[in-house]
This record gives sequence, C-alpha cells and structure tokens, in this order.
Amino acid sequence: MSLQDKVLSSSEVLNFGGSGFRSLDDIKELEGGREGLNAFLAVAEPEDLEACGQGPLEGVMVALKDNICTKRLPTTCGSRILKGYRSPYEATVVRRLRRAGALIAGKTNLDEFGMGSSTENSAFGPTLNPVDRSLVPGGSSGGSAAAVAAGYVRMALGSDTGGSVRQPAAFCGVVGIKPTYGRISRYGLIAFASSLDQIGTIGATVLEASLLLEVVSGHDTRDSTSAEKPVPRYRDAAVQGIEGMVVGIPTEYFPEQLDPPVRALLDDACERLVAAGAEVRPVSLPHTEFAIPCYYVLATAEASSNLARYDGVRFGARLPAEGLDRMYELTRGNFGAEVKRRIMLGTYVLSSGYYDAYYGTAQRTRASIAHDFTAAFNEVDVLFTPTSPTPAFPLGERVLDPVAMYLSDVFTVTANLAGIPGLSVPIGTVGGLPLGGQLLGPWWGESHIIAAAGALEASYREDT
Amino acid sequence: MNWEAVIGVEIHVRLKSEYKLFCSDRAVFGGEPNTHICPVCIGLPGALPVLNSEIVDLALRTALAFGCTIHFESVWARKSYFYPDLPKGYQITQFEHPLATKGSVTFPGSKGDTSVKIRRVHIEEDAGKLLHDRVPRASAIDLNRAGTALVEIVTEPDLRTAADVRLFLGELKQTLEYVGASNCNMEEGDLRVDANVSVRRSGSPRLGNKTEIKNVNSFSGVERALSLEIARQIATLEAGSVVGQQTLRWDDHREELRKMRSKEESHDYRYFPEPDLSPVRVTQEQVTTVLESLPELPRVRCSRFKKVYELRDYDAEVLTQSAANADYFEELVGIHIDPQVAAKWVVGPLQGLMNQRRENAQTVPVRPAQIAALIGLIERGVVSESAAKSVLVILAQEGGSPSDIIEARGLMQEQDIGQLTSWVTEVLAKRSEEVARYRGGESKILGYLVGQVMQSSGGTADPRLARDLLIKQLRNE
Amino acid sequence: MSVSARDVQRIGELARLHLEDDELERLTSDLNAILRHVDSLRDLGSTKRPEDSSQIGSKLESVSREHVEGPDKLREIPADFAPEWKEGFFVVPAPPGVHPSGDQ
Repeated sequence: MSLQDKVLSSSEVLNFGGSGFRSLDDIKELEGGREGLNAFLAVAEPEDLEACGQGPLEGVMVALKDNICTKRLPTTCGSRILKGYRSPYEATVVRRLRRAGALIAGKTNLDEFGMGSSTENSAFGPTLNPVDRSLVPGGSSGGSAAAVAAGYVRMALGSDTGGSVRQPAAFCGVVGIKPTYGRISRYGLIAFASSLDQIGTIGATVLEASLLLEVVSGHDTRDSTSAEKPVPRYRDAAVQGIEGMVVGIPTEYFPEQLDPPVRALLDDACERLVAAGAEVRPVSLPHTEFAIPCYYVLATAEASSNLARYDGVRFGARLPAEGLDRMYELTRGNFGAEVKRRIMLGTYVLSSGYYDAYYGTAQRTRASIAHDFTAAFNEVDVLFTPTSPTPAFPLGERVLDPVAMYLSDVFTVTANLAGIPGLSVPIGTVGGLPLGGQLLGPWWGESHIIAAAGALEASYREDT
Repeated sequence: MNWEAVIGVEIHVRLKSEYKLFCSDRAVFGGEPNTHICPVCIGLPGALPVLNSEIVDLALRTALAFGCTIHFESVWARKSYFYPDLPKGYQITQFEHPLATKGSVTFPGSKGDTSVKIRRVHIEEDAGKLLHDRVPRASAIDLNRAGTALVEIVTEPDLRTAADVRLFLGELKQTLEYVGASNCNMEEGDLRVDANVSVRRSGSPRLGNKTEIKNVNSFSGVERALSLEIARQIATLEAGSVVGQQTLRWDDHREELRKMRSKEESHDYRYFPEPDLSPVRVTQEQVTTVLESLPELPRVRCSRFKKVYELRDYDAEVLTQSAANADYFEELVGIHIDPQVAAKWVVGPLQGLMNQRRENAQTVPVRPAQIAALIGLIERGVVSESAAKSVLVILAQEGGSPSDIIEARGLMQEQDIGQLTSWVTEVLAKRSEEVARYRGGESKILGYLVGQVMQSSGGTADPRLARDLLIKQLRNE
Repeated sequence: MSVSARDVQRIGELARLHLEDDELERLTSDLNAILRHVDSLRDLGSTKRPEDSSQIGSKLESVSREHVEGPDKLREIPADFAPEWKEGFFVVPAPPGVHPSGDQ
C-alpha cells in the first residue's frame, strides 16, 4: 500500500469528509508558489516519513510548530540563532505521534521562540492568514493554524504560553485546544516560559483537535511537571452533548469596548449553548484586569532565564569574535527585536532590588487569578468568553506598539496563569473574518470544554 | 592591641551518587571528555530536568549528620550567570528554601572542643570544566562533570583561626565519609571550600569588612590562604586603612591570593524558583529511616571506645578515624578478643599491613576471625608475637588458617629447654662485650640479648623462657 | 518605576545582549511603556492574598526518578551540532583574563 493510499484510507476511517488532504508535494507546491502562506519553515521529504505505528492516526499528516524538537527536520524556533539546528533527540510528543501512526508533514512558522501574537516576529518572514492574506494569522502558532485553515493538513501541534494556540485558531477559523498544565509532556518543546508553556492541538474540527489531544497527552517521566493522570477518550467527549451543563459568563471578559458585531456573535453563541441544553449564568473573575501585567512579568522573567542557553557555546549559530564576552554579545545580538525586548524586561524584573516589587507581586497576583477560577468552577462547569477582542488584524498594524500587541492576549493569558484548559472554537464571522469563542474549564476538565465546543460546532453545522 | 579573625566557610561536597542530579547520565570522574553527557545536562533546547531521588537521601544523610532541621518542602531555584562551563546559563540550586538549616559541628579545636553552627545545607548541580591547556589560543569545555550532585554546607561565622578552620574541615570530611555521603576525594575536587573572613579588635561585637576567598580545594590551602589574608587585614588596619570588600582567588601553585576582576564578582544572580521542577518533598518517615541508618559519628564513637573499652586516647582516636577500622576493631571485640589487645593489633600490625598493601579495613584480605585465631595462638604460647606478625603477612598473601601456616612453616614457639639453652649459650659466647656491660650493672642490655636469642631461633623461641634462661646463665657465671 | 538608558545598558550587559545605540533608545522607551502598564500590579500590592503558593508545579505530584537509565542519550556526537568542536571538547574563545597555554 502506498503512502498516499494509507493517508486516504485512514482519513476515510476518520470520516473527515471530502474536504481533502494534501500530499507532501501538494504542500510544497502551494507553499512554494506565489500564493504561499509561509506557514511551513520545512516540509518533510518522503524519506523523512519514518515507519509509523498502527494507531488512531495511522497515515494522517500532522504539522508541528517549529519549537518542537524533531531529529529528521531542523528545529529553528523561528530564530536566526537556531537556523539550521537539528536536534539530536526528539520531543516526547513526536514519539507519541509516530506511535499512533501519524506522519510528520513539516515544521510550521511561529513568532521567534513563541514570543508574539501575529507570527510577524519570525526571523523567516511572517505567515499570511489564509482567510485574507493581508491579515496576520495570529500567533505565535500562526503557521500551524494557517496550515490547518488552508487545508494543508487536518491537524497540527502548537504551543500556548499566553494564548498562542487559541488566538491563531480563532483568527484562522479553526479549533485550538490548550490543555491543563501538565497534560502533555513538554520534553522537547523549546521553552519560552516554563510554568506557562503547554503544547496544544489545532484541528479543522473539534473532533480532530480532540483526537490529536488524546494521542499526545499523558504522563512522561522526562518532564517533572507532567501529570500521572489517565487520559480520557477526548474524541468521545466531542460528541457527548451538554445537556444540563452550567456555563458561566465572566462579566470581565465582555467589556464595554467590545465591537457590537463581536458582542452579537457571542450572544448568539450563548443562545446556541442554551438551545443545546446548557444553563448560562453570569460569574465574576475580579482579578482579570491584572492578568496582562502579571503575565508579562512572569513570562519574561522565565524567558530571560530560558534563553540564557543560547550563548553560542554548545549548539546553534555562533558569531565569531575576539574574546568570550564579545562572542556572547554578538551571538545573542542575533535575537530579534521582540525577543530582546522580553529578555530585557525579564532580566530587569529579576534583577537585584526589583525582584519583590515585580516578580514577587506577580506571583501573588497569579495566585489570586487562579483563585478566581477555583471559585467560579465551584458554581459552573465551564466558562464562555471571546478568544480575542477582535478578529485578525492587518499585517504590520501592531508591530511597532508592543503594549497594543500584548493587550490582544487579554482573554487568553488567564488560562495559562491558572493552569486551566482552554479551547477556541469558531462562532461565525465579522465582516467575513472568523471569530473565536473561548471555553475554559477547571483543572483536568478538557472533556467539558470539548463537549461544549462540539455542541457549538454541531449547532453551526446545522445552519449550513 | 589584639586582633581577632571572624571566619565562616562554605563547602561544596560532591555526593557519592552513581547518577547525575537531574538526568540519567553516570556521574563519573575523569575519562574521555564529553562522554557522559545528554541533552539535559548540556542544556540542549527543549530538555528538562528530573530529580534523581537517590540524591535527596544522600543530602539528608549529610544534613542529619550535622543535626540540621530538615524542611519537608524545599524549593529549587535558578541562579543565573554566563560562563562557558555552565550549560544552561543558570545553575539549579536551592536558595530561599533550602533542604535543611540550623545544625552544628563540634570538633577538637586548638583550644579544646569547639562548636560551629551550620547555617544551611542545600543541594545543587555542579558545572563542567573549562580547560585552558588543551587547544591553541582557546578554551576547551568538558561537560562530564556538569549536572553532578553537590551539597553546599554553609557555616555561621563562628571560626576564629586558620588552624581551627583546618581542624573543622577535617572533622567535616571525616563525618561525610562516615555517613557515606561523599567519597571526599580531594584530588578529584570532591570538597571545595570558600571562606569569608574579617578581622576585629578582640572582644568587639562589631564585624569588620569581610573578604571572600574562593574555590580552594585542599585543607592546607585553606589554612595558608586564611593565614595570609588575616595577616594582610591586620596590617591594613594597623596602618590605619580600611579593608575593602573583595573576592580573592587562591593560587595553589604560587601560594598567593589574587583579586578577582570586579566584573567577575559583581554578579547579580537573579534567583527565582525553578519552574521545571516541583519542590522537594521529604516525609517524616523518610527522615526517620535515614536517621536510623546513620552510623554512630566519629566523635561519639571515640568517646564510647574510651569509656566502654577503656582504650587510651590515642588508640580510640586512631581507631575511629575511619568507620571501617572502628568496625574491624569492634568485630574483634565481638569474638571475645580483649579490647586492649584488639586495639593494639588494629592500630599496629594490621594498620601497617594495610598501609603496605594500600588497602583499608574493608578490603584487606585478613578478616577479624583470622586475626582472632592468631591472637588465641599467641595467648596459648603456640606462636611468639614477632612470629605472629610474619604469619599476618602470609595470611594476607596466601589466605588460610593461622595454625596451618604456623605448622607448615615451623613457626611454633620453641619451649624446649635444651634447645633454648643452646641458643642462649651461643648468644652469650658471641656477645661477650654486652655480657660484660650487663654484669657491670647495665641491666637494660638484657632486652638486646633476648632479641639476639629470638633472632637465632628465627623468631620461634618463647621470649619469656629465653629471658629466664639468659638471667640464670648470666648470674651463674 | 521607569528606566534610564543607563539602566537599559546595564540590563543588556547582565543579559549579554549587544545593543546598538538606536536599539538602546527604542528599548528604553518600550520598556518604560511596558513598565507603566505593569505598575498597575503594584497597586494590587495592598490587596494581596496572604499565601504565595502560586507555583503552578505545586498542584502537581512531586516527580522524581530512581536513577533509571533513560533512553535520552545523545545518539550523535556533539560535533554535529557544536559551533566549534576539537578533540572531544567544545571550544570557546578564552574568558577575559585567561591566557590559554595549549600548543600545537
């Protein structure tokens, strides 16, 4: 049986319908042409497709964000500092994918080291949004979301530190899941902010994103923060329905400034949840307004430390220089502007005399934000919010205004701070641009948010 | 005017763990460079640390040996600085919440028993090695050592003299070996010492400005470095100047202290909790288990040996210097050998044999039962003490039972009066000068003559009988 | 709190980042803009909760291993990914104040 046949047969088994899949050649042709999205930084050659196991993803092409270590393909993190770097080992998720029969189609573009919300911070050029090429695909997993939205692949892995799976999924009109912290092994995921980073899944449908989640989840002895919890059949959750589910609507996530058309789509989604059998009620998460500053202190502090290893000594690109200090500075000068900005901020907040004022306060704020959620989930099963205040914005619009860019993560960073699972599902379009609704669940509550997203998806499908 | 030094030390101890702290590489000293490395310990992108639990037990042994309070939750922290031998750009250590605090060490100081308080004991990973003599015009990095497990032991500034620091370190080393926490191999850098020192008027409650002496890896080096630095600080103060706070590096070859560059010492380490690792959690049961498994510590054992076995100070101290010697001794006593006799054998002939063979009491092939049998044969007069020492050497080389060796080699003690008399007569005939001196009142010379008889007999003569016969013959004539 | 260009220079040295003059200027204004926003956190200081158990890892079981031989060994020698590799060593320019004595 040829590879092609294999891919066909398993996509039929999965009942993905006729929306098609692409071969590696198709991807190369599409990406290489004038209409290319620059979603991929590397596309696999047929000989890179290692013999795979027989599992639920047998023969299915999966794309990986290029901060997940692979041995066959380079892993660059969208950075000049890792240009051409080939990891001598592979990430746990890659092993799990191959065991499940998946084929690694290639590595997708991202904001350098995952730092950004538009995929414009890649050293290898921005990715375009397949819905409208003048817009950003979101970020930092913009390449993965664009690849799925464009139909290059049906599933992709991303990583989500402050919304980097959910926001691009929303901008591109696909489904993105960031599971509970500790659900998926981070071994082989190149760290941005270790206490916030979590690998997430992107799929064309809730079922596909859930199936991929099921395959890559589970305990790993190589990651101390991975949990020893059994993995439920998430694919079943996608179709189980939400009769009797209580959905909370946090008032802080629906500010006055939301555009009326955006608000209208959100209201409509709430009605659909009710129609599917859920009960909707308002809740409050009072510390929400501090989430962005809290996030940017903690994420940059950890990043400044995680990125210290890119020193040109043991791996990666080194800029030759006389003397060690000069070599360090020139090599690390290779980081892009946003990465430098965050390393600088992180170094500053950890430096002598400022630690308590910034890092210490942010840690306490994080505890308050997590506590808000714990209290809310005593009353409701899931929360429903917008994924992002707006649909995709034009390329270049926010590149020069870091604070505006950071604020676009306002609804997504809280899940990372609290460690809880979050999911973005399409809830219609504004001016032709997809909008995402976010479902948040308690720790290990993936099945609930998947069920709610499945119900919403089914409701929209009935419209057409 | 009298001056007084105030000294605190930090000791980095490599734990006796087979594996590195956070990965599955073996912790091996030496060998081909960069052969015990993996993605984790060389800090490749995406690699994550996982704690090797064996090491927590070793660190607990250390902390409990010094009577520290164990914290049931201790937190890993990152200490950030750039240096080529530090793979991740940070060291994983413990900062705000260490494994243990508040212990103490009592040691025989120059002015009697002296106590030093232990401020804290924490676990951390070691860096690799940077070598400047391997490649032309550049530095070479070997990361085999990177990620091996250390404990850092920090004392309060309770020490007052360089000599006491050395004695304290000796006690510390002995304890670490005793509890099996570290091999304490100084040549391999298993113990590295930093010291901070200031000088003040004797009796003054105020502390002077202190300087820090970094990275000394011999105890004599610590003592010399501190003596020099204390003298320098006193001279500075007596000249009316102020001691500047600074960090000094000890150069063992040139025997001098060198100031570190200001950039090297102006570190802002930016500590924060390590997000890749959960806190170390220790249970009361774990502490109890480790406590119960700890051997009796040297000083306690030494005083017990003096009290219970009525040993001389010297014997008790020598015996308890290593746990293996003390165990050997107690095994002998356990098989009903008189403690005095057992001590004499372990400290004397057995120690000589071990030195000669470069072995210790655990590895030496002569086991306590064999020595006990040999001592029994001496007591029954079958073999002389001097012949028994030869038997010991043969036992080590060939094994077997002492009585078989004595029989096979004809080393039985000679008690036949006729045979003894002929040896005595022979010696007296040959040594007329000594005979004359004895008769002239120099009775001490008798011992020499007994020795001569022993020699003539090839060590088999019963020395008491030989002595009696000698006296008889010397008086009769 | 705000930072001056000199502060930014010092942080750059601490982080070993080479910054061109224009970068320095831009970073100073960016950092100040971000810090203005971040300072809202400090207003929260008074309403802070007593406990500081926010380490997310503390929600997870403590994970450690009993010296298992993990299969994460390097399969390729570092020569394949090291910027400079000679005779089994990673090689770097000498640190300041060090004069390497290796001949050949």
